Amino acid sequence: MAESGAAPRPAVRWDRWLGPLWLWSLLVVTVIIGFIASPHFLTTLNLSNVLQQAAPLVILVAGQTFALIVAGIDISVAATISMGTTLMMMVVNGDPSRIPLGLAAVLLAAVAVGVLNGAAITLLEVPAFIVTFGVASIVQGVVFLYTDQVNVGSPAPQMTEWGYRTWGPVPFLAVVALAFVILALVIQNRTRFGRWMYAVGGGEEVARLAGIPVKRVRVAAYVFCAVSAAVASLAISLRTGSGDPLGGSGFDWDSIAAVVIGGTALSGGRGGVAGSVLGALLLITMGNIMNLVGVSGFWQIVVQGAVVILAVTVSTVQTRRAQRLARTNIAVQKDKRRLKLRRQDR
Amino acid sequence: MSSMTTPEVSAGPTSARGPRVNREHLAQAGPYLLLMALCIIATLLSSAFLTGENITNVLRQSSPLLVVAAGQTLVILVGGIDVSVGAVVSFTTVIGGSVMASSNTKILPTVALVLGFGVLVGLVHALLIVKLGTDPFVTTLGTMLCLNGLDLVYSGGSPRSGVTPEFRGLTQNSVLGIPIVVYVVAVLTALLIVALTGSTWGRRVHAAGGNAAAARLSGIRVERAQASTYVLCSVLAVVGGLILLARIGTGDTGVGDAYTLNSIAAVLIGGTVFGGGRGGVGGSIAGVLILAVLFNVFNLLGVSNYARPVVLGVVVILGIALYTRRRTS
Repeated sequence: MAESGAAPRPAVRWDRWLGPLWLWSLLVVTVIIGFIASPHFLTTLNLSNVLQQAAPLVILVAGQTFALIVAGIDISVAATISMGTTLMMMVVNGDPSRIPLGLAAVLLAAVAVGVLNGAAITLLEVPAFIVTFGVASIVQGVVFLYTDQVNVGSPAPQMTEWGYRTWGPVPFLAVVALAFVILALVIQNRTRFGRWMYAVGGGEEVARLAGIPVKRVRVAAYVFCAVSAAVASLAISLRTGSGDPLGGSGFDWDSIAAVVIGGTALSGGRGGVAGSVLGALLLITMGNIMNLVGVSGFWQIVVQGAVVILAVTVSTVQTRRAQRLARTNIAVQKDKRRLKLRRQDR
Repeated sequence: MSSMTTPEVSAGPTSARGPRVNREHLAQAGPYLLLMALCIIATLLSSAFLTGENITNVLRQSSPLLVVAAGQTLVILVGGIDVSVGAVVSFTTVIGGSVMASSNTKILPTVALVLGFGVLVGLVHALLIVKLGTDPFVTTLGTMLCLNGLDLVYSGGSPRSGVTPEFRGLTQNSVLGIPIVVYVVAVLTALLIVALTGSTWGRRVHAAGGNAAAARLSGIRVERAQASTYVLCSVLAVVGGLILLARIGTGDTGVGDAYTLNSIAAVLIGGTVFGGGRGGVGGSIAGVLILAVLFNVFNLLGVSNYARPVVLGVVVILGIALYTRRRTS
């Protein structure tokens, strides 16, 4: 483990932006399978559809990745999404002039959830799993309270229009998702906060001794995660007719699955947003292909599970090989140095 | 560091030995203290709480979760996690509810069949997680999806109710005023506690979770200890599923879903920590009972459906905060 972190491997740099190569290969293979399996798969209409469907999950996994990088987890994202869509629909309720108010309400509420998560984790020192489990419960209860457990509100016509708008084959939602992912990638790879996240996740004690404000980094990661859930909920509310108080359910497991398929470890300090996005695209594309081929929804779940297991196995084998390689590289370099020293001695 | 007279709360990780022992003891007794406090509050709030009938009811209702959480404890002890237990519980109820086919002679074969299925799931987990070294969370997430899907494919989404009244007697009949199932759960958990604290296997499990590398160097077969916990966890989830089937009388696809998060929450409330090595089944029992008493009080007081999750969340977070401190090692 330690060797892989210490080994200077310049070749790894680009995959911080683009994700691991093997996931790209898997995605390409999936697309080829889709092409063979159904004539409708590789059409502009269908691909544009896939991108639109993928947008909420893609946005969400960017945030979930941050939670995992700081060695945490956020299972409250599903409740936050339910909160976001219902809040947006209730505030807007068909009136376009209230859209800005809705946006502000959803984002503020999400920031509050993120701060609550981060503060409870850092100040009370309770494990992230328990805190976000508890906060999920609290948020869901509050959503039930103000929605009375029924679908609420309605979107303004403009919202629906944007939700289905495409420029040529490129859907508006895909552009939003891409912009959000680029924002997350820049934060992850080009800011001090991004480096701090990896330091905190890799080893909290060392990070603290190095002068990193560990608690603030943690809180910020959870706030970003909650905000990404809010943005995902807004993307959902552009394509639905009303706010479902349980509209976010399933997004907790799905996002965690996508992030870990993407190579981010639950132990923290490793991985990144790009892999998670590929993981999400992989899951959505597979679902789409199975729909086209007419695989029943029940079997789709089975296949999805099998792919999760397959992906985690492949990624484990890959990481192990990389670590072995790094270790041998270090060993070779040491040998060379020793040889050199011996020659100098003579 | 701080002076010796300072109480343990302010003591840093590098402080002298005395305070650290105190905190350790607090972490062990904490769940039971919280449970007692909850029971006292419940007794004050509702006269119906501290009655034989109600306590029996709480025990009967929490019995499936007690068994499932005991298994979850083992896996978390060796540094893993099993998020497939809920799916295993659901799958067990569906298979059990249809294979039993309202025939008493088929009870034993059914039980054998589902237990075998539990062993199989556990072996798959052990093979992938222990042998190949995959991440336990994602691997069990994968099997969770597979099992949920297979469950739906098998049942077509409709409930199965081929459970005989004799099988249901497990939860409905009582001996000395206590449901049979409570004895079964008590014996099972007692056996596990004894095995964990007193046997070589238990020491190996603790060692494998505490520091796998050190354990391996001292000649312990770490892999074997870890594998055994995954198999036991799935088997115990099956037992939990059978108890649930006896209680509700029908096998259905979604009935076990809540057991995943609830079992993990109960284990953590009980003082077992993620990453392994510390904790035990005893604490998890308290964790399950804390959740059960909480739900019971909600029912007795007629707390609204909306307020329940809010109160649950607050109690779980603050309750754990009272006695746990996340340990960085």
